Amino acid sequence: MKIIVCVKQVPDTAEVKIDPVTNNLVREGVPGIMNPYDEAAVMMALRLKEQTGGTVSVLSMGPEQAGREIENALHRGADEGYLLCDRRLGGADTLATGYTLAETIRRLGCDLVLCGNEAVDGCTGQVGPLIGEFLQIPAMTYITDMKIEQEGLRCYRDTGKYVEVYQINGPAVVCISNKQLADGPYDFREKIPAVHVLDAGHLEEEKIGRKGSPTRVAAISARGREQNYLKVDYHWDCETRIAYIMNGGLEKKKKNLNRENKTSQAGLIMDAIMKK
Amino acid sequence: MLEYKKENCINCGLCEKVCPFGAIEIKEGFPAINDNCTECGICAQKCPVNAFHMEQDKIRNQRTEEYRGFWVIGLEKEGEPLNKVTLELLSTARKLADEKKEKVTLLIKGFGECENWKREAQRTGCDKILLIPCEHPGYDAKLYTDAIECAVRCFKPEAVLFPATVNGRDLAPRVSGRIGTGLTADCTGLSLDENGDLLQVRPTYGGSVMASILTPEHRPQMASVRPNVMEIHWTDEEREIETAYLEDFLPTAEDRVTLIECLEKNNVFADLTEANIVIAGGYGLKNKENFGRLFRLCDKLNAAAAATRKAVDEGWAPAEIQVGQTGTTIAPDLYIAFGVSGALQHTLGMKNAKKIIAVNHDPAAPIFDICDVAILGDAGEVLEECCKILEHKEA
Repeated sequence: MKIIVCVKQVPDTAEVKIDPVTNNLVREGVPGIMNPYDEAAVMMALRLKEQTGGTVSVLSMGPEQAGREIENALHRGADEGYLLCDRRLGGADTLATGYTLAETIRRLGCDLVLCGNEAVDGCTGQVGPLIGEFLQIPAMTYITDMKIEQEGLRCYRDTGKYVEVYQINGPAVVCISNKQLADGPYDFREKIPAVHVLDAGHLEEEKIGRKGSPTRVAAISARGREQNYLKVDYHWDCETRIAYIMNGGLEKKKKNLNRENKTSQAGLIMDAIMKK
Repeated sequence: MLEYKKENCINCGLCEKVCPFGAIEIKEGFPAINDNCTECGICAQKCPVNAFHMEQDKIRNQRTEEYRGFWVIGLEKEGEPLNKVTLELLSTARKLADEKKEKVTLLIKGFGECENWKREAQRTGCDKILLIPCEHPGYDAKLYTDAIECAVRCFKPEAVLFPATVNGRDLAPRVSGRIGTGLTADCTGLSLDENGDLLQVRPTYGGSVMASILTPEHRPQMASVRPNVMEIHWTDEEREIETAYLEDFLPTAEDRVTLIECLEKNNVFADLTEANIVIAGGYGLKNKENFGRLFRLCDKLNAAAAATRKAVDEGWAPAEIQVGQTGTTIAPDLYIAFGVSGALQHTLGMKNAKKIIAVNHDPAAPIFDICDVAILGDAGEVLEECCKILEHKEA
């Protein structure tokens, strides 16, 4: 089985800087790491390889330094690494990224594509399903575990309410959501092959980078989390302001503390639940 | 430009069936394209042997004035009531549509009368329910993608809103790829800018950055929206609601993927965002045993469990049930807090709860200022009493 794993380099810190002129994220000076979900996907791929044989290739799109994450995967036991690195790919949104990776995967050829369910920086979870769509193969999201059975590949999908068990026949994109897999053991391989660097030559220019991206970032604000901030009116007196902040912005309700014994207190709670 | 290559054609006749405009007729075994063709490209997508070829540029949906109206995608099964998030999306769509004097449509899978859906949707001001006629019982990404693509190409909405739930986040990107338009994930705010374009606000970088996204040149504009962020507005206005079927749609499910079984997860950790009753534990519960009690109580009472960050950090509760600034935002009818002090980081995630009951040993705990019923006592002991009462009732 030939497996391709897509990985993304993400900034290592929550301290994100934004260029006030271009509204773009400033990546310089922020150390990069492999997206933890992608790391889990790499470990899953290596586990599958151990069971069935075959090869694991790692594919990433990004600047030159993203090659470090590919090397990291090679050290863990992946066989080949490909880095898509081209100025023309810059400014890609999820649609353009999905197209770019899918087209490259089509060229490299494989039986299974693994991705992280989402990246911890953008958190969209869109690229995996988009790769599936562009390759016209199924894409399975929120997969926590995979097993090889005689009848085919088995995937465990966590929907919150249920764990759905699927069997896949034929090629598919599987998006891994179980971060814990990333911590699995591996033998560090000293000698690794060189990373193949690819340009955008095999791609249609209208569909990649900024040109191929339908969405535009209109504005970006680091103050963020506005709905999770309290707006304090400075005309209020000091006490009101402090009380308001202490209450988390909620209305302070005057009430008596219930000091009854624990049995009647518990009865009060159970009655309230039963009424619902 | 749509091209037809006769040499590839295997005379299967599928193109005639899938064309939403009746633009393809099979004549002497081969398709003939008539003037009804809008170059929507569905035949090229569906043809199993690529006898139709569509220039990709055309498939990427350019903006035109034809695109009008706001759509909400519902992922409910037939017979279920509408989810809270669907009602939130319908209310949001109504608000946006009012600004442009446009219509709101709910696209949902189902046969039959769907009177319940009609009644609920009507109260949010929805104008039309478009039904995907299909008996497939569950969620199938391929089937939904095909249906939404077909509907979008026929009716051309200007915006399509998806719930940012597990299945909604699985589906939305597939549709955006198929149609070739932009999609913004997990929006927490939607409004119209001065050009009437949809301004989509979403948190990124773990919530430390808010990004405002536009899809200026492609239609429809697509966004998935987080549950429990938008408010539901009921309208008293008597509004006609129309129902229609997505005609000419041939449902085909994904055949390379088979659902073998569906294991019910421990209910206590399920569906925190949709739960009516939430029982939360904090640091004041002191140990893992008490959390075990809390989970059992939730299980028996059909409530969802929640925890504060501190309790999660202690390893007493799984991270998926953390409520607060980092974690889930909830708005249940009843919220019961055992040993939750009421730190700002937590209360920001539950302040929309309708009724709050709090148990805490500290009379000065901030949670007592905001709750409806304040109980002074040891959270663990009161919880234990609750379990006893339940056992007694069961016996």
